Amino acid sequence: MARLHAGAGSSSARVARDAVREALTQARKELGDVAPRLAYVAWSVEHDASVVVAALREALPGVPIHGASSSLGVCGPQGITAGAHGAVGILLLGADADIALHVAHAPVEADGREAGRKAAAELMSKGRPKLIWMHASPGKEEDILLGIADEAPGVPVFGGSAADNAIAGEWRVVASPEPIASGVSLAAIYGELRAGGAMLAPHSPTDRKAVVTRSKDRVLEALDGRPAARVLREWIGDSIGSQVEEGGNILAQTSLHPIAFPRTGSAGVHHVTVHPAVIHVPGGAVDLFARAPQGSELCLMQGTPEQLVDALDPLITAALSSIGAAASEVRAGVLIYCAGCAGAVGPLLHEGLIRHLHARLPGVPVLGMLTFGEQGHVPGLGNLHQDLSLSLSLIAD
Amino acid sequence: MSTGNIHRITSYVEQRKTPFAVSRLIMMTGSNLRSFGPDVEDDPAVMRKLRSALGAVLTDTEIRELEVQLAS
Repeated sequence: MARLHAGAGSSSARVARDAVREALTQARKELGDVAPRLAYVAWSVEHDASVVVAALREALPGVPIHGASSSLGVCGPQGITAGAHGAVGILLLGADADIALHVAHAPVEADGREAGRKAAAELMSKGRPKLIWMHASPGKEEDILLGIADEAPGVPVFGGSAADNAIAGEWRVVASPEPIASGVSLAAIYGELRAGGAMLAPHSPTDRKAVVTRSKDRVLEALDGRPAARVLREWIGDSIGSQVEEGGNILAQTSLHPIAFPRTGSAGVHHVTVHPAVIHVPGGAVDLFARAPQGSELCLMQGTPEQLVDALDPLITAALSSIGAAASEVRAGVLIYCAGCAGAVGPLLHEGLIRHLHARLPGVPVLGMLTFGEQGHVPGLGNLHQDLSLSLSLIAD
Repeated sequence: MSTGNIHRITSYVEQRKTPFAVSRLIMMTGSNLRSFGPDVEDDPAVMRKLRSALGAVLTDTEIRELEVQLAS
């Protein structure tokens, strides 16, 4: 008999409150008579985050809320839900008394590690979780993961960075009482059940390699002693030519040609993919959406839209394997799909979600978000932050 | 300076494709295209980025049809 129960819903209704109501109605229908004990919410930034969260609090008084804004829309086994006026997706979790669900929120100011530590300590005060879901504003995810590891060593973390559409800082993270622009929201599940997941980079490595000879945090300055932008132009080609000369945003061009740091985990080589974002002139430094450790070797990656969609299949296989469950035993899931990949893939993603997620996890409520950075647990490497990646976390009895 | 062309382009994409396609254009241009109404002056920098991004969401035939509409 199932001990964890879930229901998911999504809506592209014009008005935020209507979208919450519509998504909740669908989720409650799947949840049945079970009382929700966690509301996991995602929304696109056409909707006012405060209105979305307030509507959810009013509809589910006393139920902990976790989540963040999602780029482009929300997704799941139904495909992509997106509307001209926004989208909302909700996953409701209910459980027997021996399973606990808690949330913790913290603002992220100068010290990301401290924010992660503070939120994780609150979760650990309730016991040791089986899994933590994380959403944070983009910028300090690596430090937040370190803070979580300080307080909750060994607990797998899965999540995605809050996102907007225009990369304009309009993202929000659920907090109490109001969603905030710079923060971290954690949710954790406790008890005797199977919880885990997988994260993978959907691109393939190429033989183009270089060593990071100068970097500062998320700014890649030099590769093999040369301006990073010059090296990237040689690798990627003229599609970034004008940005190398004049500066500018290269997110679209690098979605199918990111860079990655190969690291060896217990299951083999894992590529920590990083998204080059903006080229600066003069100097040729490149802003990234993740850190580039000085002295480490990186390689150019390449991918096709089809490859980025079809990666859903091995992702599902790896996530099921991580918890040793058959699809029929899975009660709920959270899919994190990089917004940059989604932007590059376009409508193929809608079809791919139905083809893979709907087909391989039939009837499983899954909330999907399109994010500006992905976090996940990689066996042998621990909890990582990377870009242009996919993760799927699953819960089974 | 032209007026309303950004709105006409996003309306065309929304009608022919999906709201998701417009959101992709917003991501590619880094500009909230939905904030440009029919009476809003076109920002030349946004217009330039929008035109270069259209190939990602429209076919060549659709782009030609759109150009005809914009010229009329």
